[in-house]
Amino acid sequence: MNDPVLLINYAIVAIGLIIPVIAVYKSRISKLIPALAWLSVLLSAIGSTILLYNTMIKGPIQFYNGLLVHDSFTAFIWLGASLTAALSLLAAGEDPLIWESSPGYYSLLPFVLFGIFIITGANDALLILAAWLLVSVISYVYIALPPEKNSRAAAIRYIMIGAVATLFLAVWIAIDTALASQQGLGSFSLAPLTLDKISGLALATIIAALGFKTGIAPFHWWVPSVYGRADGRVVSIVAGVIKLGFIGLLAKITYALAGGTIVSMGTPILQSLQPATTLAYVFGILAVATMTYGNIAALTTKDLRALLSYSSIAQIGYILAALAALAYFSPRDATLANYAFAAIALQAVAYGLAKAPLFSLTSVETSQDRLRGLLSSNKIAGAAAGVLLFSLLGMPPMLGFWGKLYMFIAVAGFSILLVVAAMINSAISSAYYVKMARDIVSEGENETQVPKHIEAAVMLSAIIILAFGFIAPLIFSIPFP
Amino acid sequence: MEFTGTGLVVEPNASLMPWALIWGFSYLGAAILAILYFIGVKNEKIYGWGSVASIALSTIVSFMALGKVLGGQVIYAASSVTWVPWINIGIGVYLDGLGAIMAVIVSFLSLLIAIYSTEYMKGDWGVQRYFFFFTFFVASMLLLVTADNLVLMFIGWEGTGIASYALIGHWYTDEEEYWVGVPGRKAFGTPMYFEPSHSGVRALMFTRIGDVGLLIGMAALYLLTGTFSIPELAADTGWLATLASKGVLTALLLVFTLGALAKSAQFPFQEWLVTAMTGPTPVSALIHAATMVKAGVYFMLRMAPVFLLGASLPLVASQLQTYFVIIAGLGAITAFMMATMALVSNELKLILAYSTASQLGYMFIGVAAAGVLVSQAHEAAALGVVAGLSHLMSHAIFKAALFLIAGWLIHAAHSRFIDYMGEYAKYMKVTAIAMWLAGLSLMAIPPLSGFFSKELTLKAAEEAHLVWVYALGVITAGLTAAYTLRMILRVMHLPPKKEGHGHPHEAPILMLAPYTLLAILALVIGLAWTWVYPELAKGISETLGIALAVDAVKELYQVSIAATGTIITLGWVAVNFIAVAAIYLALRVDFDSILEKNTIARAIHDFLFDRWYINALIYIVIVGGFAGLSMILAGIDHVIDLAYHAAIPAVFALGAAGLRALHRGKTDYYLMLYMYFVSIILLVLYIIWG
Repeated sequence: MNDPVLLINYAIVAIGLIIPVIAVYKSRISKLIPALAWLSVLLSAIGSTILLYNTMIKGPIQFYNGLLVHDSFTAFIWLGASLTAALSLLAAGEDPLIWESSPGYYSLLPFVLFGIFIITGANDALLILAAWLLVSVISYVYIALPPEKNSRAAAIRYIMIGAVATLFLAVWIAIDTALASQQGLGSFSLAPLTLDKISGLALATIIAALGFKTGIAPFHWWVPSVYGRADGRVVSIVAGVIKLGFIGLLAKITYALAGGTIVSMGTPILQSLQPATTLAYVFGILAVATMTYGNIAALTTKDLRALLSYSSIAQIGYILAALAALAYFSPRDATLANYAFAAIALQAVAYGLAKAPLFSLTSVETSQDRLRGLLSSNKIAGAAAGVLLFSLLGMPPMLGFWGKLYMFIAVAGFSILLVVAAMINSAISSAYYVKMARDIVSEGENETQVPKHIEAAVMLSAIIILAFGFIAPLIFSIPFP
Repeated sequence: MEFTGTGLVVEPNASLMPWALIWGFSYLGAAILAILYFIGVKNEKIYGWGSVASIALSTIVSFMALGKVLGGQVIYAASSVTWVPWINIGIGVYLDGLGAIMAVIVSFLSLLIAIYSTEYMKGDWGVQRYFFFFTFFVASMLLLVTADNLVLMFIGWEGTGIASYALIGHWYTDEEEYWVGVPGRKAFGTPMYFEPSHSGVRALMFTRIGDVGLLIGMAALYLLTGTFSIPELAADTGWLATLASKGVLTALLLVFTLGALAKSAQFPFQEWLVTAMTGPTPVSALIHAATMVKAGVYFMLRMAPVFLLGASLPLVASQLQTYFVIIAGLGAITAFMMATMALVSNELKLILAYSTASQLGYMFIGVAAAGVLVSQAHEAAALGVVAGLSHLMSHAIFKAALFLIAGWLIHAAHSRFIDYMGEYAKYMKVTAIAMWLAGLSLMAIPPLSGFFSKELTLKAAEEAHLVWVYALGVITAGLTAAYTLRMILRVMHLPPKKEGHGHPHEAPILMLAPYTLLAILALVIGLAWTWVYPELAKGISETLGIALAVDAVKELYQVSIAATGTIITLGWVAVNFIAVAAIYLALRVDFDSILEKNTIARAIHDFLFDRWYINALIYIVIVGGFAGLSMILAGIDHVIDLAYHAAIPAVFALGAAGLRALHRGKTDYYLMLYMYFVSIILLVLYIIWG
């Protein structure tokens, strides 16, 4: 109870609750509201850093009698989400204050960060459901917050499909409970897949649920529609911050389904390695479908927001490739499973850090070629946006490169076909990333005028990505689970 | 004959400083220029001479390193802190014969080209950006050639790619004067003219495909060996046997080599280099002649000895042989194909670009020949590596000279087309002499350096019994003489075909001096070759671990003008030389009227002029295919979007109406529905549970 990480989380929740109360008196103290949101982000960054340090020194740490278990992987994801939240908040500036719903924008952010702490650490199916509902509802509200028609329309779509996804999660929880009992584990423990047919249903439902949340093909159809239409300032939170939480959850569940948790506990009661292999192949196929769809769809689109949406799908495809390796190696080889964890963590955080400010940038104008002439109108924003694009492309020594390197190391041990697919896709993606980079240096007829707060967010993001490119490899010297 | 080399150093034997300054000074220079740019400093002299100063410092350290290496010491400098402890990646510098020579070539040529650039780029609207990327490029290239591990090398590798992209697209405003190709010309509907911004994207795209292959190869090697360290990979080559036993050695090495093939513009990646000529000419000299395109060859030279040392098992040797035969084949095809294109080109830089890719093909032939007969003849292996490196060195010098000369000629003619150039020897005698010296070296005429280095590559192919590769190499040597002589005659001695607005005169000293010095170097190196090179080559192979006994080496690395192979090649070169001289000087053949009247001649000309239609094929099949697929997917999304807007609301509206109709306000009716659906769910679960 006295753990500093928990205390920090209680403080974050308290801030989330205080903001709406203060908002009643907003005419006099409105500046305090963003300040409090900033405080919650700062606390979250401090908490995640403490947690990361402790997990690196001591290994996995339990909270609430093991209901919540964090390791350096989940701590890094939480840290990445905190930094991404800071970038989103910085990029939004004080713009949301003029929205009618402004208290919502600021008060929900602390809950998002708290939710990510819970959802990535949850070691119990019911707790996963609770955190899922918290974070999901907030993400729907965020999309609906900006006072314009497109965002509202996007939110309705998002909610409709989200509700179905939640239903699938509930079904998975029911089956998981049955599997856990069958295997003599705790009631709502995360049980590994077995050779029983019911495991197939469990797999289908959890992929349907998390596939929706993270934008995995063929559950991704909403992504261009929501990311591409809603206001960039809120999309940056949903696509950047919240998605990191779900990626963390997906990795954790994958590890458990493949039997990694049980094997790492030294009780090899797995019936067979076959379920883990099947899971790996399912993820492998989905990875190829997702990255190929995202990259090819992004090739010819001229709308920056749509392009970022499609490339988000492609990025999830790469993460899925690492997840496939994670599934395969979890019960087999701890070292390679750890490389897969490193790939997921680095790739996901690099994605979040780059996408949050880029989506915010799309809120600047309504022109399609929004990045055109950015360098000539704003040197800092132009150069920084270039760094973000090259990180997404996997250029060294930026953070995205390390994600790709670990991904290729892990996947090369699992499937050469998946490696080749990732290689081809990576090459295809260069076409649109480089085209975007060309737009940045081109001269635009209407040069993009970037507000100071967005310029600061893009620049800060580039600095973090470069700094992490040098520091993150040092961090990842300790095995995760 | 066995390898006697024991020069491999696996453990660090020096501290990181001062050797990391080889790239450190240039990176520092680039960082300072970037800061100056962002704080708004405009003075172009600060950028130009800042760049020159930082590269000069790198050059000094490079020469210091070469001095030590030639003294017999391999420098392996590493930091005490490991950067990525988990996968054991440190920051280290490995300077053996290959690394030290490459560092000197890169830094020294970059220095000369930077000095040339201070004059060439004077008054350019993007001069600050130019010098930043120029310096950043040099630093990355130096990191690439001195890195002790594959990851660090890859960082340099990608750095050169980004800088190259930025410099090719330097004039991104895309005015017609900066294009490559004849405006309006198309092949099968595909434009054959390219703007700078488009060319930059092409360069990055083409090379990126290979780069990902390299990254995958690195990852796979790490999985097998647990190390990214280059010396460690060379010291323990058991991983080759592992791969060979699974039958995947050839395939993996080919994926691993994709990066090298793309970077060095070898078939089928040659297209990017051609259109990269939209960049400022010093960039073409630096990146697309002297350094970056050599990165692929360097990579092959760096890895080939590793492969050779592991080829003791027959299984490994046979799969290595297949791999090297493929590489040699690609080199030979590129050499020949690009030379044929150069024959008909009417753009000065384009001729040189074709020539560069063609000459890079020779380097690949040399290195690949090393591997073909490694299990039977180690002397052929050692010769191949040395031949590849020799041609890399001599080509870097004479081609940089030719590009720098071209930069001045294009400036003087106010046109990139040779049709507007002519009789320049009258106005610029020193430049003409320099062009002849560098051109003769390219033509492989003795005693210039190009003759010796090209002969060594052909000798390696001959020793390896690569008959058709050797034959293509010899044929290409003749074609090289033909297009080079045509270029020199038309630009320097014959009257211009078209009236231009040029004002030919001798170049300013800061431009004249670098290319004259390089041209003289091509001659001096050639003159000293017989006495100096065998000893140098022996030293280099010693540090690479593939040295041979002293007596064998002296003969092996010599190029004898009386050898049958050499006589054949020189004879063929002479035939081409005389033919071109006769066509242009004596017969004064009017090619324009021939092309106008003769459809077969025009078809051949168009085939060569439009680059064997490969560019059109790539655009129609690959780019068009992906674009079509992309549009189909966008269409699907549009349909789904419409569904969201129209179909789903309509279905729900109908459904709602239907469901409302079910609500009849009777409790027993609700209970019946409830039980009905619960039964269905139970039934489904029962079936699944089995």
